[in-house]
Amino acid sequence: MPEVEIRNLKKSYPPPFSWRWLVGKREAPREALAGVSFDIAPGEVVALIGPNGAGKSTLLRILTGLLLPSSGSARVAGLDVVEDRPRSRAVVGAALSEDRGLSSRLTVRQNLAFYAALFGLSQREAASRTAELAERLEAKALLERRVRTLSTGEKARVILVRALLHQPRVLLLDELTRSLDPGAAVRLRRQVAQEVAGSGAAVLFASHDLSEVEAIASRVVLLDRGHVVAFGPYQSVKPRADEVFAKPAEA
Amino acid sequence: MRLLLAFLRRDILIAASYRLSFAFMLAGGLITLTVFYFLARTMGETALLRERYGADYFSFALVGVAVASCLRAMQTSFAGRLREAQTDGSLEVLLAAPHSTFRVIASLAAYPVATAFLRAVGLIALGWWLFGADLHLEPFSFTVTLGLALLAFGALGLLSAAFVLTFKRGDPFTYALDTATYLLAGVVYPVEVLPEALQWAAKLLPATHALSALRASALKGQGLSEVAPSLLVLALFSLALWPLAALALTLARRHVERAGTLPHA
Repeated sequence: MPEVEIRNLKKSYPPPFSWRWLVGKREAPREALAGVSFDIAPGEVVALIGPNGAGKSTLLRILTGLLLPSSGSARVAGLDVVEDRPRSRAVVGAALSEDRGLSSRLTVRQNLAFYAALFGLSQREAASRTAELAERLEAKALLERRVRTLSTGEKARVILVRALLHQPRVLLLDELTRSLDPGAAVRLRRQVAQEVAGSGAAVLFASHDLSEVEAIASRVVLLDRGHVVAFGPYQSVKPRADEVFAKPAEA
Repeated sequence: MRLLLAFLRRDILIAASYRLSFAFMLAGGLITLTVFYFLARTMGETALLRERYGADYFSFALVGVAVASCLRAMQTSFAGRLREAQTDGSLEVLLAAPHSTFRVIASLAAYPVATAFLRAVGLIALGWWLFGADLHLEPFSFTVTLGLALLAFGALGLLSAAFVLTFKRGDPFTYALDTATYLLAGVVYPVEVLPEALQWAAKLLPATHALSALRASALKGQGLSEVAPSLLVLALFSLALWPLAALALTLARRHVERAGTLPHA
């Protein structure tokens, strides 16, 4: 049974309110996902690629339970992300692109303890899980530091630890390595791969970095304007990806 | 409960990282008490207050200011903390946790509400101990009345939070209600000194009934049966406002999830 199951998922954003509605001039909804379907098996790492506005973040937010789809369905670990909320959120670990959310005045350990409690871990479980993950993800030296003193790369590492604290069955990452230098990005992506291999979680990560995709994804979903235009191993998707990325951006 | 404690623990740690915040709070309380103490001495004994409330002006104002700050915290903290979480980017992470929107927003407000409560208790204690306030507290009646008042104001607070979740801006109705409360509900002067039309308007505010019953319990030692009419009004406010607040919050969450505006500040 797949750990992530997406069937004909559609999402249109309603147009923002305008006084022009009063004279009957209403903009059309903006289509972000136009019938997306694919599965991810337990322990599988799937990359989500596509140009800006392809619908990657929309898809990740729907799976996280932060956005309602217009139609279709999505299940994580057998739970429907709409019907089974908020239970479905308990099996998902997410690090989204605009994900800040760490209290800058607290230490990393204090922040992680808070998020562990948010996901129902006892203090003892939180402490042991934090120690384990910090050791494996090279974040041990960061634990007693205040978040405001961390670099971007260190924050990304902490956000990854936070997403993994409650042992999620599905891990969603939105351009986690975007702001990192190449060396830090390589280390972090290697650690994600190792962590996933150990935990058996299904991973869906959005990225613009094709070398990252090639390095850790077993399959790749290529999205363009809300459509899945290719899905398969990196080498089979790459020619189509080159075409999509070479196209000029739509006005 | 674990969720509430987690939020409280986090917010206490953040507050403790601002080392002078407790000293400023204490100084602020003492300054407030000093101002009202000398104001009361300037005014002298007032027949209206003595007959209607059984107290001097300082004791009257002390209960009013302490209680009003608690009610204000209940009315504004949900929306205030929600707005902070919107602007610092933590709201999305919090709402991605397996809890209802109500639980998350209520937990966010736990610290400011608890602080306001402690501050109110501290003000009353200092007012009695240092400034000689004339209190005849009936604790059971006071506690029940305060609980009912906080319940009604909690619903107003959640309505305000629903507004902020949807529009990402402070709720103008809350500010209007807050202003009306301080002007009309008898926080620092009795409602009886207002023109008759305004006294009628004051009756529409939950704070008027809360302050009336709480003063009766704190200053005249009146029990539940004597403050029952005010309790009934507060209960009616809660009965009317809570379903509305629950509906507003559900609709607000659904709106931001449809429009995709949850991460927007």
